[in-house]
Amino acid sequence: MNDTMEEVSGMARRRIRFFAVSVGLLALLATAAASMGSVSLDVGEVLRVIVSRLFPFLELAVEAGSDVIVWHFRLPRIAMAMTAGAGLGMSGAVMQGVLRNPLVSPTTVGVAGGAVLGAAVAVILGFDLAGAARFMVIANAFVFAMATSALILLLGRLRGVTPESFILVGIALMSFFGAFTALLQFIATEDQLMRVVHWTFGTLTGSTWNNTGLVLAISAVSLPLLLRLAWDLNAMASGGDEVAASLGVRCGRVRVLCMLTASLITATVISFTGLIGFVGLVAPHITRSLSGSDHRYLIPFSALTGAVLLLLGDTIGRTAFTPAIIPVGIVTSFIGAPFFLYLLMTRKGQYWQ
Amino acid sequence: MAKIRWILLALLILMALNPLAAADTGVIEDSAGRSLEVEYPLDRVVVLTTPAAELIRAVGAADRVMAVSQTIAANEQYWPELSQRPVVSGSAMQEPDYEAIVTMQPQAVISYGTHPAVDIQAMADVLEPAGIAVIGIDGYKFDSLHADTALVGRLFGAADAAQEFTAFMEEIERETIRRRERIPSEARVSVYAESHSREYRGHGKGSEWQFILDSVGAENMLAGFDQAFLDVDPETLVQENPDFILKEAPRGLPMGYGQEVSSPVEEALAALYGRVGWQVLDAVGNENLYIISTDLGTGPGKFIALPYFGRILYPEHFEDISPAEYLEAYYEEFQGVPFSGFFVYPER
Repeated sequence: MNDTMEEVSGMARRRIRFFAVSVGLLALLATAAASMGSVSLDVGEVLRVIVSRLFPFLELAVEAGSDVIVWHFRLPRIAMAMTAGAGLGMSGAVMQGVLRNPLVSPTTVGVAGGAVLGAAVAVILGFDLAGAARFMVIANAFVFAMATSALILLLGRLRGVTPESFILVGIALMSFFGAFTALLQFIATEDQLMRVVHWTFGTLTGSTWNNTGLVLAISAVSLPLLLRLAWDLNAMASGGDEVAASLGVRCGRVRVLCMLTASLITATVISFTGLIGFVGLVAPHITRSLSGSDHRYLIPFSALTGAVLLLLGDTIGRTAFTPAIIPVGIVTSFIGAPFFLYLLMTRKGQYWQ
Repeated sequence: MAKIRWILLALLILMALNPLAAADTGVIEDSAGRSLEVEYPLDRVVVLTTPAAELIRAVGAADRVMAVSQTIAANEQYWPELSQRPVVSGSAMQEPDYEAIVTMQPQAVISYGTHPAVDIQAMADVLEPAGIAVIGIDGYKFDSLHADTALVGRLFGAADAAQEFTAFMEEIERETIRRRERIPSEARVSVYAESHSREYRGHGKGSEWQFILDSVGAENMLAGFDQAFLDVDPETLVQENPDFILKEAPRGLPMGYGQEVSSPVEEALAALYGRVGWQVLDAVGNENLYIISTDLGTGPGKFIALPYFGRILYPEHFEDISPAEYLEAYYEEFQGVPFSGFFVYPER
């Protein structure tokens, strides 16, 4: 009994430590990111812009160029990195839990294939115009991504709502849509092809307060719902459907709700940014290995890890070769994958539980 | 003895008159730098690319094209004759219908030589055993255009026409350089040139536009980067504050040959002016934003882009030159199609 108590309080300490460290890291990163860029502005100047924007009645004198750089370029980008990373992190945690599979993420099974196809349809078959095209690609990617997840749920249900059926249906649809995308790319002109390929290297260039707000709203509405399902997820993840059902969990319903919510978050994020693959897969693993696999903590903590990963990746991508920008989708895989491998190698056998 | 001399002379005359004797086998070097033994002048060719087809039409040999790619066939307005020919490939980037080509027995198939998406040698490996030459002719790069033109002239027995075309392009370049020399160095303008493919993807030093900007004496904001294109941090624009912003028209925007100004183009320009944060840029305040059609500066007539850029960037130095007249000559004299369309917006 005493041992168990100690274990519990040890776990609680680890969680508190994880929370404190990741929030601190995020704050530090955000401050650093706001004062770094191809134009060098000191922290004071950055603060002046923020204060002048938040409290316009102070009538602080701010240089117009600094105002644009900080308020219109850097801050929306940082905010988008954090919200998009958080959204991807938590949907990854939910999907891995609900499908009881460590290889699953919103972009490996399910919506990503649909989103890429949607973007390809907009670029290759659609009318393609500055301004309007931007919206068309976003709308198409979102609609196709959601349609894909609806199809996965529908076909998975027909086969009995088990994790395997969702994963298998997801994989089958991924390659089916992949074939469609390849066919479109085959008939595409070289420029269209470039645009589709570029869309698959997600980037945060072009983030605005408006689209960040939308991603934030979707994630913020989803989080309480996912947290309400966290107990059910714990039961399903540790004991399997039979044990969970004996505890009164309606596994099928939980699975469908979780999949739908995770897909919604992911579809919203990647329709704005393009494909950002690795965060949703790796953030839950990192979180799990540092703070345990209780979903009540795993889901919000994976959001924190995702936010840290994406912000770190984007800041590196934005500042390493200024003024050239390396799309964040490439950078996250570069830093995420080795870190993931490190965790995998040093924590043999316990990465899942 | 005198008799033999007469017989020899008669034989020589006969040989000169014999059409078979006019065919010549020679070694050429194509745009890909491949040495090929080709029998020319060519009478029956398959052409897969637009620039090569334009060069062939410019030297007056379009009637010798027996099959084309869908890229050419799809544009009936610009290719009234060639759009009627059999189609043997989707585009130069796709694998052609080899069986159809071999059945037609052309002397040669022409595609891009150095284009990264085209493997000319792979096509040659298939077609050369069937006795069909595969020739790479780019026709879309400043540094090889004159050589490509000369090669087309030689291959189609139209060296004079090719020379005339090159002289036309050289005159345009000379006239541009002459005006550039008059621009004082302190009046040189800086330019942010954006690719058609997406926002904040700029033309670097390796792009074809670098040549145009150099020719008219403008400074490319991204000339410090060797790549053709790179994604640039938006805040750099605020720092560099370029005098002009030139946006390559996104594909699908109805600009260029045969087009009239329409609301999508006006909206595209308005969208540029409305980009987040751009209100602080001098180029926006001075209304120095232009959309450039991809019909300008891409094919064999690409030198005509020079005076167009000159008129946008240095109106006072280029007011005595009419780029539209050059384009008119290009389309009507060299391509044999009626001239219409607009190529920069707002029009200059």
